Amino acid sequence: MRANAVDLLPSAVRDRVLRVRKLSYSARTALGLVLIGAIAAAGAETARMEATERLELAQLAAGRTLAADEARGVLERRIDEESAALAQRHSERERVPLATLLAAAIAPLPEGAFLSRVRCVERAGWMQAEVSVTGADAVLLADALRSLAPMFQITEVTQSIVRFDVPRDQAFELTLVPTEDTDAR
Amino acid sequence: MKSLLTFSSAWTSASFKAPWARGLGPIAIEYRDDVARLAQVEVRSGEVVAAARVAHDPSRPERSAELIGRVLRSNGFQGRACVVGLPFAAARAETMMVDDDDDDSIRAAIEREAPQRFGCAAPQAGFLRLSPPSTVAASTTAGQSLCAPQSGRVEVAAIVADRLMVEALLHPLIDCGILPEAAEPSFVSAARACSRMYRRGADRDRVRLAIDSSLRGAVVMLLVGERIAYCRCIDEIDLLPGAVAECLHDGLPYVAGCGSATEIRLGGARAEDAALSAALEQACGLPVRFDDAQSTIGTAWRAITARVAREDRPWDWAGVLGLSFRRTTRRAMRDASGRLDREAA
Repeated sequence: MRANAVDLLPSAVRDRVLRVRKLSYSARTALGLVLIGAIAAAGAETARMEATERLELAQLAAGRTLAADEARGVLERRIDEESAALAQRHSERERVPLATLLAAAIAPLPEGAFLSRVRCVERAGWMQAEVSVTGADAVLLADALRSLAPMFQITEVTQSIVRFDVPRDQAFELTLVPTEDTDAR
Repeated sequence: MKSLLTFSSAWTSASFKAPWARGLGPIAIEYRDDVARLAQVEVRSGEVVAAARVAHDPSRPERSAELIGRVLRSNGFQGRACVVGLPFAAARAETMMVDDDDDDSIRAAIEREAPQRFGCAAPQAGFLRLSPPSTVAASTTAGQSLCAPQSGRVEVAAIVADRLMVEALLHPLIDCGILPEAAEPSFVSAARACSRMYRRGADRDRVRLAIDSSLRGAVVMLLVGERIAYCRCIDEIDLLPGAVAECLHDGLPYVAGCGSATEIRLGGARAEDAALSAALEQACGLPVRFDDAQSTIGTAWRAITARVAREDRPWDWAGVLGLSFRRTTRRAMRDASGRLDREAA
């Protein structure tokens, strides 16, 4: 016979422990659901932004490559149009996609240069971007970016890569310098 | 607001540890005299994974709970469930004859009689069946029993705790995010520790006299194998040898058929008292043994000395280790369902 099992736990204590367990279970369930929701929402937003950026940048890079090979005139016209549009809006503070800005930034680069890779990482309050350029020195791209968007903090420039930080609230709200300056350079 | 913050921080830290606490038993917290000892063991191996001791002031249980909450966070304890060993002053044991009924009815009967017999206005009762009916019948046939069974009556060791005192100990623990699953008197835990080296086959009928002493009194138990066959509380610690000899005599019918006691196992606050040991040996004619590293605590003592102050002795930890080896309700239910499955198969 296994004996020596005595339990003197008062029912008031037992009931309170059960209540706390139920409460903590509910709290943990709610916390879990909130976390899952937040992660899903953040993931969806990041995916949406990344998809948009990637699409635009892919189009841009492909267009530039295509221009270098066959349709240079078409692309030049397009870049001119974009530059003109940017010049018209240079005094306005409005949302400008990063891809558009990069399109303007690669305009002064030598012919045949294109953006081979663009990577953006969302951070709390700011965005970290890394742009790889092929066919030209990345220093030229960095100069163009400094001219177009002085508020970008360029953290590193190598032979083919420019890394810069964009404050989150200013990422798409840039005061662009006049196109004439870019053209002059 | 402060208590809410304390509770939420304790709850958060303990909750996030819970998934890793699967293989561990509940935290055992034993209040004994002016110290609360804590231990947690790995269920399968019995290895001590965490141990600590804090000062306990019986008049300020909130302070003790606060200290316990603090050491739990800093000493590697895991989970929030705990089992609590009640101090000597909180629980009394006495033999009683009650109607042989289901457990709840016996408990209710004890609680009805508690105000007169135990002087306890708010009783919380538990009990141990002193002799299985078959043993009583056999011993009666042999003409050796002093506890003559009456029809429909059974003799139990009624254990009564002061509910208000127990609640005063346990509610502060809950405030600190520690959730008591069970509370048992320390002498029951000490008996379990004494049976740790029990060999289920060879020692089944071995009788030992165990004494769990505290600064305020002692509980004398006759153990048959791992079962408490008889127990009695003694308040006058100075009269312990004589009272123990009397218990040995009175308890003989409860171990009838198993022989007589072969040794005295002395543990608790008075275990180091050489004069008491000598007096016990003289009064009872039995050798006194301690809850030491060889006989009770085993290798657990090495793990404890690595974690707590060296002024403690092995027998100080027997109770809390016995408490940590207590089977939880969940485990008991799982074992029972497994047994039923095996029987069904």
